[in-house]
Amino acid sequence: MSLIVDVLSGGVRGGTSIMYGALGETVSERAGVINLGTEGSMLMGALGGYIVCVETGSPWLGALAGALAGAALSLLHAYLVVWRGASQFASGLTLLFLALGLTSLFGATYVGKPVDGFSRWDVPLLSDIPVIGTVLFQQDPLVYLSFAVVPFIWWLLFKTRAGLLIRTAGERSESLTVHGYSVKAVRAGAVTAGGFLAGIGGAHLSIAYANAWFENMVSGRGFIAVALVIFAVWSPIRVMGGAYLFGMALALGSALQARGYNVNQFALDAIPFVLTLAVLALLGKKTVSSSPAELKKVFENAPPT
Amino acid sequence: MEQHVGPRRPLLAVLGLTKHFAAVKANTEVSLEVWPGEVHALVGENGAGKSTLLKMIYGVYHPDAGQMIVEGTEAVIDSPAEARRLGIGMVFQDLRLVPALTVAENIALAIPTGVTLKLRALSQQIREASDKHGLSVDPNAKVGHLSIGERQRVEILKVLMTGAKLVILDEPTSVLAPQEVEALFSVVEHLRSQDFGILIVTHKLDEVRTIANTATVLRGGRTILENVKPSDYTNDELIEAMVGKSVSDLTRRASTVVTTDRAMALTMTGINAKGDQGNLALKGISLTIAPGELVGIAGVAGSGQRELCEVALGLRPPVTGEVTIVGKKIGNPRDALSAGAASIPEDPVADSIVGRLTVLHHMVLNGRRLPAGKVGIDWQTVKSTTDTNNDRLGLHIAATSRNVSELSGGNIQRVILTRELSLDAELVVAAYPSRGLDIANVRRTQEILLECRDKGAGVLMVSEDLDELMSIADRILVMHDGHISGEIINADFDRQRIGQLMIGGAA
Ligand SMILES: Nc1ncnc2c1ncn2[C@@H]1O[C@H](COP(=O)(O)OP(=O)(O)OP(=O)(O)O)[C@@H](O)[C@H]1O
Ligand SMILES: [Mg+2]
Repeated sequence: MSLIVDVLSGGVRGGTSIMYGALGETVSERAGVINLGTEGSMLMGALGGYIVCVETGSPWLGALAGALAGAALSLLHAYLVVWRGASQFASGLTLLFLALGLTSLFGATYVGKPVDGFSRWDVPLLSDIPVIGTVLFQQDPLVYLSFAVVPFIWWLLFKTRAGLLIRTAGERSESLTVHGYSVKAVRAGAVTAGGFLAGIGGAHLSIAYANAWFENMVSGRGFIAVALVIFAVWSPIRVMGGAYLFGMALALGSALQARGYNVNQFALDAIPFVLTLAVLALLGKKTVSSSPAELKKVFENAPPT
Repeated sequence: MEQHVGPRRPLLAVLGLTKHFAAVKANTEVSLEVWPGEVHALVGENGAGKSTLLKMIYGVYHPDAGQMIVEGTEAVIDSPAEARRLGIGMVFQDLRLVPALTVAENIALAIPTGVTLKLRALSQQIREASDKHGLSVDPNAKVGHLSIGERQRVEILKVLMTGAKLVILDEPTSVLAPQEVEALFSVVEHLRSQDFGILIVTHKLDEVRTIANTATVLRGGRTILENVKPSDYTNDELIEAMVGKSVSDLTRRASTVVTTDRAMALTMTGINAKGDQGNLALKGISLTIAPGELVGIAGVAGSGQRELCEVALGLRPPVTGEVTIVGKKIGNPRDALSAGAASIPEDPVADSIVGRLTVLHHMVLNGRRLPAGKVGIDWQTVKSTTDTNNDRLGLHIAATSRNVSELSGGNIQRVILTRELSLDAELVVAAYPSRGLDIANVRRTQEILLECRDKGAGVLMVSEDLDELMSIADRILVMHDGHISGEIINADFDRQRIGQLMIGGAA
């Protein structure tokens, strides 16, 4: 029983960074732009959040700084693909490596520095509920924030004008033009907002989850986030469920190790990726058919020879 | 309304509008007027410049010269937003709705409602407006699930809800089934009675006569007839104004191909096939088409015609049943191509057009063997074959170096027709081949299909135009709800009976 609770609660904790990244990617892809640089935005967020948190002592300022750092990298992606017409894949990957280099360089002196990040805060009353209380309400503030962010993103996408414009940009961009909106502005906004969210995800990792900074600390979570968006069929609500699932896959290993089981660390680290592959293989074409139409074009529009 | 009080004046007058795209003189000194309570038909052959004129009026293109006067005041319409502000709304030839969004969301794009969409209030407004104008639509339906006719109603409703007094419709009927045309015209009639002005493009003279009070004829970008009453002209006079020559009627002739000891051009046996939504779209279809036979498929849109064509061409694997083309079993599109099938898809703009490629590129974009050069494709040969075929077929396609994305609707269709019909095909599957074509080219296309048949090809032709089918088919199969509900041979063609079969009635 306690193993299950540990895995569930660890899943929520560890899944939250992935969730922020995937929510950001959802917004971006809904507007028709794939951002493989999400991993990079998360890295920028992790380091940016860490530095500001260390220097100011305020985790909230840290989270904000992380968000801005993530947004800055995505803005570059937006500039390259939206205005310069660069390949979305090439730009995203290049920016990831740029972020990897930058954060290794500027983060070197922060490795091992102590930080006073977010600490666990139990929600009064709710945290006393058995199981559910432990899993959902004995967490850090960024987890609680995500409980509000998920419905907010849903509301934004489906109930507001901004969301309508984002979805139109992703489904049939010429319809935006006909109504006098700028496709470029809408896409750039969505991509940047996506980076902002991914940045929070990165900050969650360094100043709430691990309370440490080290090189390449995101280690693939950004890519899991990108894959997650596909099998969550671009729905923020499903992103939440999926992220927790991955969080649990990550938590399972440490929970087992803590109980003295001798499991191979490398095998444990591989679990989430094996899970990703399995889900992608299972869903295959099914989800692609419901993908935003402009996103399909990104894959299908081979340049003329 | 204001028009009743003040002196009557045109909603819109354009004077000497000119628009040239590099070497293409799309419009040269074009003038016309649209009055309140008037339905004004804009007619002319493919590439005459109709869509270009409409796009200038709607602020998509900017005229090189000329004036536009909206309700008595000179206007510079530099964007669609400005056009809408002036009370001008347009429904494009290719509808611009977003399929993945609901009707209400699509309309919300055009109507400012503040930060949130207030979809419930908007749905209410949509219902009220749709009651008022007789345009029934469900605000919560996903546009992707609607028929073309319904989508058009949504577009018109949207235009009306943004406060348009002048409604521009670019070839609304060329994609509609006859019943849908009737429904559209009753809406147009209603709008006319409410003092709206309507500017409508069509290629069909009987439609001009049914719906329009006024007509303007364009040819080669110039106004040939300006603001005339259609009833003052005979059909021949109007056709002559449109194409510069008279177009002879099609002479019906029977097939003379000897078919004994030749394999059937197409056989389909016991075909059951699923539609895109997973429903059973074809239910136990069996048919054969002999070489040298032209078989027409009639039916209300969505009765399984599209699936039928796709199964015949190996594009849609049937759940059960077998397809052969000249005796060869068909399992995938490659088989169909190598057996000698040619295909004119239902919606070329969506299915077989790559906008950034040229006309010449499109000539080889059909998966058949290409003339090989030393490295890659031998474009010289492609070009000369294309020119020869173009001369032979006489559909006068645009210059081979032009980008397909800048061609007019009918000219795109002609590129596809020329490519597919110049093959020595064993089987021609033609879905709505004359869609979007002007009168002269409709006639020419029908002639070519008959020539294919006379050379021994089997032709499967889907059309919603019964007159067209009855004038060229050797046999008509009527489809209803995935079945073949009846078969009628040439000598017994009877409009009434076909109509009955189309709605599933007993023959
Ligand atoms: N954006 C563009 N760039 C270059 N040429 C263009 C462009 N738009 C239209 N044209 C050309 O202008 C001419 C008139 O085209 P237009 O679309 O107005 O014809 P249309 O009368 O609407 O024909 P259809 O009946 O086939 O729809 C054509 O030769 C077309 O190729
Ligand atoms: Mg046109």
